[in-house]
Amino acid sequence: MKQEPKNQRVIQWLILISALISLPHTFNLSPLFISFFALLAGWRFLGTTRPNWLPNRWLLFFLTLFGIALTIFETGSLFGHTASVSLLTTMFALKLLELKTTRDFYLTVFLCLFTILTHFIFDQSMLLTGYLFLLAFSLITLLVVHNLGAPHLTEAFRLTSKLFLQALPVMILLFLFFPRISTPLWSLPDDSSATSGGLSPIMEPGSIGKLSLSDETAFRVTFTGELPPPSQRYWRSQVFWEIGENGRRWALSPLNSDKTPSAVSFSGVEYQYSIMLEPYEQNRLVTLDLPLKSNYPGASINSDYLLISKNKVSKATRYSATSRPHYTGGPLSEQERSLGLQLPKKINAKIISLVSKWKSNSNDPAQTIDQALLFFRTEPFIYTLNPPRLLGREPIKDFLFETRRGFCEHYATAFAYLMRVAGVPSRIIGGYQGGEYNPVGKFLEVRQADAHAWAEVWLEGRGWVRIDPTAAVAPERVELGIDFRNQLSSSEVRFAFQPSGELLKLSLSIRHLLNSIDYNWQTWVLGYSFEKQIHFLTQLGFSGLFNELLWAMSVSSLFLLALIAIFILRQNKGGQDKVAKLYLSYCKKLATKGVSRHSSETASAFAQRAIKQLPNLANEIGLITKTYQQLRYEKNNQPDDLLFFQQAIRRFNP
Amino acid sequence: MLIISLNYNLSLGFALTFLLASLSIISIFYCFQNLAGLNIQVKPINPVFAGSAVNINVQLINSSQIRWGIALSKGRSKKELIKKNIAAHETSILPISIDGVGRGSHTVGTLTFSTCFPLGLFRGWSPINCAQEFLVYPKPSDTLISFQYGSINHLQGNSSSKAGDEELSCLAGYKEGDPIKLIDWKSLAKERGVFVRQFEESSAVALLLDWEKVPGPTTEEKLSQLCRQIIEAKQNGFRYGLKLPDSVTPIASGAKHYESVLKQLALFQS
Amino acid sequence: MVSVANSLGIMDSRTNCIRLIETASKVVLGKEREIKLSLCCLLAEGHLLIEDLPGVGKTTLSHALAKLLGLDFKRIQFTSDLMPSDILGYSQFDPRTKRLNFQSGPIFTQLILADEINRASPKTQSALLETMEEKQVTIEGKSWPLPDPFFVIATQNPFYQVGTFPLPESQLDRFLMCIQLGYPNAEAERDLLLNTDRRSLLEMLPVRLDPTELNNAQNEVSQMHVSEALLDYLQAIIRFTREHAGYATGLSPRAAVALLRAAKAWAWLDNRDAVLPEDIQAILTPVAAHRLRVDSSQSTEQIIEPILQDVALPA
Repeated sequence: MKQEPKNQRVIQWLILISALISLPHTFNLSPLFISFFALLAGWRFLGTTRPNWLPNRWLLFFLTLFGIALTIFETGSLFGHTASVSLLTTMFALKLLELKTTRDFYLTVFLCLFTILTHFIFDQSMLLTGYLFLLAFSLITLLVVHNLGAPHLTEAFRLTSKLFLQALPVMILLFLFFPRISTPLWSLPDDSSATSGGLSPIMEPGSIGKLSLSDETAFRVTFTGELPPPSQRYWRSQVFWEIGENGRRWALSPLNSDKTPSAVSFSGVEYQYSIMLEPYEQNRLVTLDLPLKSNYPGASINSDYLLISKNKVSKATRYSATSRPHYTGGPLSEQERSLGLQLPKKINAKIISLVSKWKSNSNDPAQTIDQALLFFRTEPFIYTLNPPRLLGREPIKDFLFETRRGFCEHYATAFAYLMRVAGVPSRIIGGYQGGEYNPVGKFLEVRQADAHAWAEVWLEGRGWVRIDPTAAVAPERVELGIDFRNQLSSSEVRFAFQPSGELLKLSLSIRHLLNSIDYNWQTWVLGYSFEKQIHFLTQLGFSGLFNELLWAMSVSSLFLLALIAIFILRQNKGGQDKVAKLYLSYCKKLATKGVSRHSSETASAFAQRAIKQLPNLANEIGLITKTYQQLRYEKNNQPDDLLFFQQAIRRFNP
Repeated sequence: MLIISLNYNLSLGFALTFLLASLSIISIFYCFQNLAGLNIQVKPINPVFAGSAVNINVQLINSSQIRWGIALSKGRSKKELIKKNIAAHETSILPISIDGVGRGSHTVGTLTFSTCFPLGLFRGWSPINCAQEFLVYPKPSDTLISFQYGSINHLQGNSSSKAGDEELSCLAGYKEGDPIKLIDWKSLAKERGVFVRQFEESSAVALLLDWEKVPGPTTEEKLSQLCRQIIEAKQNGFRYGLKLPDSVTPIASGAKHYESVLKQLALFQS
Repeated sequence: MVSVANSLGIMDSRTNCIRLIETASKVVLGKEREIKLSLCCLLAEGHLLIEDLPGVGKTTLSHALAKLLGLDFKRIQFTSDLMPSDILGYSQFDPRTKRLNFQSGPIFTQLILADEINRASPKTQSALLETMEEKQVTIEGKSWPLPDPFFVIATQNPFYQVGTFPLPESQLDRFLMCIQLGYPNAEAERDLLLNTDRRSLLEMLPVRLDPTELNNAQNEVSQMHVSEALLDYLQAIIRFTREHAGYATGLSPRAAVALLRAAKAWAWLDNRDAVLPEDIQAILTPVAAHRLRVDSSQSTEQIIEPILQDVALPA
């Protein structure tokens, strides 16, 4: 098969499609790989018109070594999915460069399809899927063009559409019934650092100058009953206990998934909801404050009232949970008390005097809390996403008495610090606050920009109590959420108000619609997991066993394929009507007697020849020929004529 | 692809994998349908001289919808000699030529029709054994050994070849160089123009090409020389006969005669 | 009543046509097929070209047809000095009325025998051929319609090559059919020698089909039923000639129409109500051969045989 694909235009298209397919990897891979790919693809493209510019075998060998070296140098290994995909991209580019024979052509097309698959490891959004689907369609069209005797683009396009239309139902069947597994076959070293997002495992206010707001969705919640009011929408995910030596860095608590939650007595409303969590790369799942139970397989609620899963959530996940916001906690263990009061060795005198001033008024912790909140409310504290950096040796003091500008983390950490100085056990909770209700999809959407931090203090008789000092400084933050779309460059935070203009309303409803589509996409396409498959099958009346799945898949897809096959193969006979079919069967009967019709022979000429050889059949042959001519060439045929013809041919037995 | 989709539990990966799987299965049906039901006939093949390519015209009659990229190869090889689309309800000819066929009578043998339509993932093929025969004449010798005029034999050429028994066949327009004695003076006198009389047997030369008289060490060389002589004789308008060890063809001329003597050479001792 | 009269009329003109062919073959001996083709050509409202040597009965055939159809008949002998006005007519100044009077030429005749058409200059040839196409004569801006029916039988001698102007393909296309008469067979020739002069026989020929009947017949022919299957076959033939390497140019759309019209007339003459593929095969040689010919050495069989052999007839 060493033949030059006849059409350089086909190769040019293939290179173009390859480039377009690799393009979205700019978001996932180091720019070095993308430049390498672009360079080689461009080189090959030029080579379609100037073949002598293409590299020889030695140069190709050198480039291959260079590609492998680049991968190891950039990603540190050849394993893990970022490294593998980088290597694949490099090799893909090299394959393009040596694209010569028909075999190379097919291999390149396969590489293109494989690259499409690798995109889904990083991102499964609808937009990307649509884009890649179009490219896959173009690839198949290109294959069809290559296999037509003469290039014919519109015809290829029509054929490809037909192929896709017939393949889609089979694909859906296979998608629904192919047995999924709940655990990976093997675990590759994952690259969680590469795709973390949302909450950070370290809380260190002041170390970053600017908090970037991302409008990416963190998770979506559907409530079975009523929605909690905005002030109750605290989504908990992290607990920070330990303060670093200078009081700035707070460390995340260990998972403690073996520790059971301390006794808590709940009261008030109960919320049932299901959460569609975007890829998260953490074990700490998001729940509404405070969770009672969840159906997430293998997950448990630990002593910090966090829902902990066994494995990191590396892909979009759906689970349901129950929470009740009103509760009374039990007693504090000694270990917790010492952790909740842990402080750096050296505490600034100014802070100690402030706290002792509060404590001198009343020794009641509740009073101290109020004093602290009053302090935040009355002193000129400003809520901003663009606070000055706190690089001094005593950041808490600097924040409380000098800069007084910051966002939730600043306030939460400063508050907890003050409480610990006052002898009240406290901790920081990380998570999300708020969420936007989508009336189209009837769900609450929580974005990364809604990330929040607040404090919890332990009070005798009440247990852990949620205190949000940010609410003291900027109550709108809690009630309305951040209007990140208008946030762009202004340093001061704007909060979302109900839109007044019609245009704004329209844009909002479009946004809701799009989010709703995306939600359904997430739920029904991406979230079609092992559990959902079982659920779906039990609804159909199967027990959901692996064997049954295989049976259901094989039987239904074979049936569908058989239908499609019949549909396609019938096209060959489509051009003939009943008369022609009957006449041909008569010809076949005569052929068994050694008189076969030439393709260019007329009915009467054939009849004459046949009668000469089989004179005893003269009458029948004459009658059939006459009826055939009448049916075929004359007008005003009666249905009886066809029936007569049919009978005559059936009775004709030479 | 399936394993990657399973391992990372990629819904879209499954979708893509299954889409491609369905496409390739469906493409098998298309591949089959593209080749099924074609009516194939091999046209009569013109005889050739050894050394030149044999041209075979294969006729495909398509009685249904268009067939894409039908390829034809000789024997059971995968080397496609020609690839063509055949329009709906169309009769199409696929011309192929075969080199290096020696003298004698041959059959076409196996022809393989194949198609990779629509995706090139599967190749459908159908070998057809074709009993159609064709003749390959000996290769004409490069050097012409002058005719053995001595072999002119009027007796063998029997009575029909009396020289001078000229039969007026038709009149043709005068071309420069035509002999004056052939001008049709009657029509010139009638002012119809200058015409030349054409005679069926304008040449009186008759030859008997004799196997015995042709030099050459091997049978093939002798045949080759005879072949060349027949061609020369025909081109010069001579009448000629052929004497082979086991048969004698009387002196005659014309296309049929030419073909029959060459056929004898082709089939000689084979 | 009307339908009965109509059907009687149809029967009449058809049987009359068949009787006409029989009568004509008594005059032009042994040429039944050629007579039928000529009549077929007339019924299909086309014109006829006869290619043959002098003396094989072209004039007799034309004259006999004119007599049997009751058409007036003129013969124009084409020569190299024949001018278009000699055929079409000319305008002449009348000193009495002081006006230009149109002196109509011999073209204003129902049946014309244009003898040895290839001896005239291309200018004269095209004057005749254009008139044939338009069915009217236009001189100095004025048009005079030609009589109806109007039928031209042209002849040319295939062997005269000096001083002749062979008709170009575009002009040949204007003739619906081109036929050869050929020598009569031995039996017919014996009859010819034994019996009286043909000319005197011609004078006594009765009118077999009057002009109204001819008109009826022509209408009948144009309304013959043509099935889809037949059109498939016709189109396959046309496509074959366009794609087959043996032909320099394929059949034109005009030729396709000509084939269909001739096939309809042939089927009608065979007393059938629908056109069969056999009809197309029957008229293929006279209608298509002269349009497909590359050089004069090819016989009409050589030209048409591949079509009959290779074009598949859908069942």
